[in-house]
Amino acid sequence: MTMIVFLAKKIGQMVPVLLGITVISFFVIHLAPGRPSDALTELNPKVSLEVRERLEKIYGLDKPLGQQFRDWSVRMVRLDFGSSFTDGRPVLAKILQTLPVTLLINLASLALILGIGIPLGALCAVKKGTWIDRSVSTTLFLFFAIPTFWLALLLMDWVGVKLGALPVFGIKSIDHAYLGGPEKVLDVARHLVLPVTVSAVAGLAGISRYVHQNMVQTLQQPFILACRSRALPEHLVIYRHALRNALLPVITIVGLSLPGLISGSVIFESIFAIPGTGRLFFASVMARDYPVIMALLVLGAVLTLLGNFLADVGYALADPRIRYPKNAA
Amino acid sequence: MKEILRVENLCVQLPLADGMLAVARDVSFSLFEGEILCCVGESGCGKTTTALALTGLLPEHSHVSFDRLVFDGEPARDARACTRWRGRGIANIFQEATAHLDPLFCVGAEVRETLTRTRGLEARAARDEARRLLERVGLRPAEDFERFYPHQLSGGMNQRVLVALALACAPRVLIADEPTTGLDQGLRRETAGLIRELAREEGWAVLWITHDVGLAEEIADRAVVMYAGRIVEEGRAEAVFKRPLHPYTQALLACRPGKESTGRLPSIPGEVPNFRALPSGCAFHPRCARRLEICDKDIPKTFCQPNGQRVRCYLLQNA
Amino acid sequence: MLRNFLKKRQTRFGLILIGLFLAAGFLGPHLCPWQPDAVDEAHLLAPPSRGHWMGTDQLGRDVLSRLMAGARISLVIGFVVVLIATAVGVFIGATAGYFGGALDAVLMRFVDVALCFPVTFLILSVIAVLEPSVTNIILILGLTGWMGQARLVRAEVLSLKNREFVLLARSYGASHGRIILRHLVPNAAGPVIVAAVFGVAAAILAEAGLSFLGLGIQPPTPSWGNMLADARSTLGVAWWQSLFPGTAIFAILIALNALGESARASLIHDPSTPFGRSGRRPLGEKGAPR
Repeated sequence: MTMIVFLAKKIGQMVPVLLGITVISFFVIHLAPGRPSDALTELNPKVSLEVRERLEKIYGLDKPLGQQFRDWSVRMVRLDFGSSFTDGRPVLAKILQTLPVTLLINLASLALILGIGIPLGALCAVKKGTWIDRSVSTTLFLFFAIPTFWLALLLMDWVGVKLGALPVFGIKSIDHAYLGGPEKVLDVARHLVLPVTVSAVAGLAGISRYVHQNMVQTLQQPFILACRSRALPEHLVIYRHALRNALLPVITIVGLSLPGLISGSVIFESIFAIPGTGRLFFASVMARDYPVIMALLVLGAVLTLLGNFLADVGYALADPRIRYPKNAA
Repeated sequence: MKEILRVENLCVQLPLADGMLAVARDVSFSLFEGEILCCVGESGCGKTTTALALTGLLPEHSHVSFDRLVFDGEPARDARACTRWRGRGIANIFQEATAHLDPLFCVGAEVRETLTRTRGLEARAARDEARRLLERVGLRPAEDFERFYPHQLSGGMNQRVLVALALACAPRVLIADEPTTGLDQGLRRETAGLIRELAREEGWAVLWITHDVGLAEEIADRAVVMYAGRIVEEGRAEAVFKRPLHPYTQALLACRPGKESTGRLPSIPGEVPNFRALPSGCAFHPRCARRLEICDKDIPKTFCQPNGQRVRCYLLQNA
Repeated sequence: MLRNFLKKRQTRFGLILIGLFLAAGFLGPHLCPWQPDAVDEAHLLAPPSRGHWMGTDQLGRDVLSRLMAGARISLVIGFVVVLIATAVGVFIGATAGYFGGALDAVLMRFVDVALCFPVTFLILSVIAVLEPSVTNIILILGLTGWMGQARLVRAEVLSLKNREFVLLARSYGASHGRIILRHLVPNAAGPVIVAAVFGVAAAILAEAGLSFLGLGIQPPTPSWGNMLADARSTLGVAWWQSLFPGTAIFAILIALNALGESARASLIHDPSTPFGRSGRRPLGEKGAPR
């Protein structure tokens, strides 16, 4: 019963935030000096005033701001994000077309981050103070500080060009369509190695350090001493008792990285020429394609909200202190 | 009675940010089967450190040394060898029981884990035994209690869980570090009674650490008094508590709220010394009403009385 | 605590490195024979030599002088952004925490909403809408980075506002503003400073990223980010064009992160580390051991 109440409360808290998101996104875009229709007609001096006005009517840009907002909100709820200014295609379709690639890269990156970062952090905590701890921590520190776009360029240069080991642009080779089934998969995989690596590097350092801190603190808790005093084998003490406790906050982190799944990749998508959502966003920004920009902004914010919600739920499920409040026992 | 544990001249140093600090020196005592030895002293005098040193549970980089340390006839070569005695040899229960239980494990699971790992029982046997143990410490019905998490239970109940965990280890020695401190009076009696009863049933040798002299008087068979990391008096309970010989023990007992006390509670003048700057000679001498010239020169040796009581005080030198 | 902080090796390393960059940024241009915009037509895309210590780019401009000019810009942007973010964040956080009630609820909802937007998307959207000038960049980065500080300060203020010293101050008539500024905010200084140091790093990285994408500092004004962007086309052939600006960004981020780490260790009281490993000297022994 309490779980349902908990969920309902959380969802209720999200509503005003959702409202705030829509309002702010709308007004961010309408800060623009000049009108959106300029983007369409700027380069063509021959376009007459009437044509301009007709365009404005089509996109509803001549109505008062308040009404524009109302119309826009209503359409948003119906997931109708309008049509792109650059090629007239429905915004939603454009986004959906680019989503799979970005999701693939970012999910692979997340798997790498969690799969390597968590064990590394735990290792460093257990071997605190030894050369293992120090060398791994220093390396991770460097990973954390390196700017991703420089790392991307470096890797492109060394691994891609000089060594020729991996492709550097796009997600498919030119002859992709002629490859056999499994070879197609391999081809895409090879193209993704560099982007995924670059994407994972900074996150790796972050997670590892977080796990390390939590582990160190958890290992000093009294119940760990109590477990040891009962002669439980050390690996059990560390993995079954300490790590599980230390990983609880990591659930929150994973939930919070949900929005990063579509938004984190603007820079390296443009470097590696990946046809993903990040690059779509960037191109839209350059072209002042407001419907797409707005849609992605709202999408990103909603995902963040969702991510927070899932993180809270996940945490509540995992931590019995939240799932079962203090009981009459 | 059989001597289960013998400690001779145990010294413990803890690593601090600016060096090693000696917190226990020349500690010697023995634990006998079926007997409760109470270690009494003010907070911070080194009791807990001594206890943890016996099974190597001190923080890393601590330094433990001793002349002899013998468990059940087996001498230990060095401090690291003591870690073998954890669980099946020496079990611990602690103050603040709730903090000493894994918040993610329900109490039944925690007991079952010890039974399978430390005692080597099969899963089904462990489950039944866990229930039996929980009922034995008073948590009935076990089927309900075993599913609770530590945060759902009260401090007193969690302490019983710790006792059940100690039972699960099937040890020869139980070290109880202030298990009833922080519980209210009635609960304190109950818990103390439970532990004492189990100790007798199981034949444990118990080292009971407490700063509550009144409690010690009730449950101790023998007693040991610690001050500033050293044992200052040792003997059978009624000897130490009825006819204390060391000025510190006398002062401690005088501070107890007794039935005839009127007016203000007496207290020992002065302050508990800082381990980083102990007084020279006998650590208690600045606060002692009967100090002699010699008391600030050298640390007094332990002097044995005819009745077996041992006191570390120059006043008894000629006895 | 401050002395502790200044004594640590990490701190000194970070401060020295940042000092070097500051010197490079503000003194360097005066010492350097080349102007950042000056074109040396005889040496287009030339590798490092006596005349050009770090070589030239494809337009013949000296990399070292551009690097130093970029240092100045990046550092200025970084610090001003954090100044703005901290000021706004502390103000909002302290106000929300101190006055509580409806004001707190509204302000924190606002913070929640602001935090919902993926930072990259938000910054890019606003840049798309306004023109990328230095002022706009500073404003945008500052106005998207204050939320963390607000939450930190609010938490501290909330925990402290009912303590005795606050009630005491109120009882002798201190005004709200005075209480907030002189008593409450300074207590939050530790975490705020740590967050600020990391914030400078984030701001410099964000500016570099924006410039790299072409939405930050506009050419011909040099910024490490747009220098890297220029280097994209000559990636395989002119290693010096991308190595130096890239290393510069890397180095300053290392310095700032090191500073932040040691600040976090010394300015935030962490009760979980009473034991250390330095020295094995015995303490406090006065009598003979036996």
